[in-house]
Amino acid sequence: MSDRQTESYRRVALWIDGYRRSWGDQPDEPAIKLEHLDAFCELAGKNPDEIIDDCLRQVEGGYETIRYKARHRYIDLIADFERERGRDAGNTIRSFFIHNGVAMGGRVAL
Amino acid sequence: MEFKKVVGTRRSIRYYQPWRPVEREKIQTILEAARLSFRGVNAPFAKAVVVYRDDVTEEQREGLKDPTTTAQLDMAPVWINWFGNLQAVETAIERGTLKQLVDVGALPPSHGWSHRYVENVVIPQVLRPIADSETINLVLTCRESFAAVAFAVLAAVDQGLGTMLTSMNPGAITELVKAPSHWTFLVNQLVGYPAETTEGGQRPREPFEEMFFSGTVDIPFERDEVLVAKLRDEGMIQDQGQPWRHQELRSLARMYGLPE
Repeated sequence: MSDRQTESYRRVALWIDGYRRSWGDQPDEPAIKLEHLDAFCELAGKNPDEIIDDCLRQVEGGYETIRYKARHRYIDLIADFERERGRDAGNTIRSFFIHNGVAMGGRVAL
Repeated sequence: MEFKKVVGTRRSIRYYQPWRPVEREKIQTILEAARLSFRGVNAPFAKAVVVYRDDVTEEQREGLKDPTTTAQLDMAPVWINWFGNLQAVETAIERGTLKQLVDVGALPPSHGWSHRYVENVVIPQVLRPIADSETINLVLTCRESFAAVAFAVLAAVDQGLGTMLTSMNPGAITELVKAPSHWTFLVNQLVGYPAETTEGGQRPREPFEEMFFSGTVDIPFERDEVLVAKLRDEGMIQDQGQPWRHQELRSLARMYGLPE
């Protein structure tokens, strides 16, 4: 990942905006989440914008469609990340994808 | 539960109590309701295979998920997998279901029905062409099957269960339940005890007058607000949305360890 501040990436701003729209303003949340996102970007070897760009294709009319193979690769990578850092960290990354329009379901432990 | 309350209380439930099994008699009651739904030609369009989540491996369950069918599949202990039987019209012809309806008095002579009419007109001129047309047969099969699904949904609500219709990987579910090739997967009905409340509110709908018309499509069917108030009292029309709904969703997401 480049040395740009994490929150300065467009996709991070969209995530935080979407998160706040869903759940209301949570001033203490972003810092915790950005720390996890930094670690995930490190693992992926990409910055937040590049990660989402991997999963979305721009199509005519200003829409975005999901690249399913890329999405599946990231699902597996998040699972690896979660095994190492715990459920909260994994869900933080899923939340980052979800609020950027990449559907990313969680799994309930039975 | 009173019928109007059943209709008014139905929601697509996405959070279930995964630890709480559903009584077998409640599942059978759902299927009994579906069996009695209306259906064209009295043909066996709807088929369903009940699958218990705990009988399926985690790997199989993951294979059934699609981008929008995720955690709810983990939570709901029962899945009723609905299929449309593409050979239903053919079967109805073979079994003489229309003649049965004539015999029991459902299709009366006063409306033009007789065995001869069924044999000489309806079967060769109506049913055979339908069975021979892939497109018309598919549309008819889906349309008729969904009446059964709707009955099943309301039967679940009536028994205090949570339920929703959801998509699934059609190839994976067809393989899992060993459905024959002439069954086309329609929808999965999740069933379980709800973990979310229904008091969170009815879902928004477009205005009544945009959906319903009187005589011609340029004349909206006028909504009587006195009746609306009565239906509200009877529980058919309920509030839309509650200020605490998002807090409920967040609490459930955290309880189940799901992303926010």
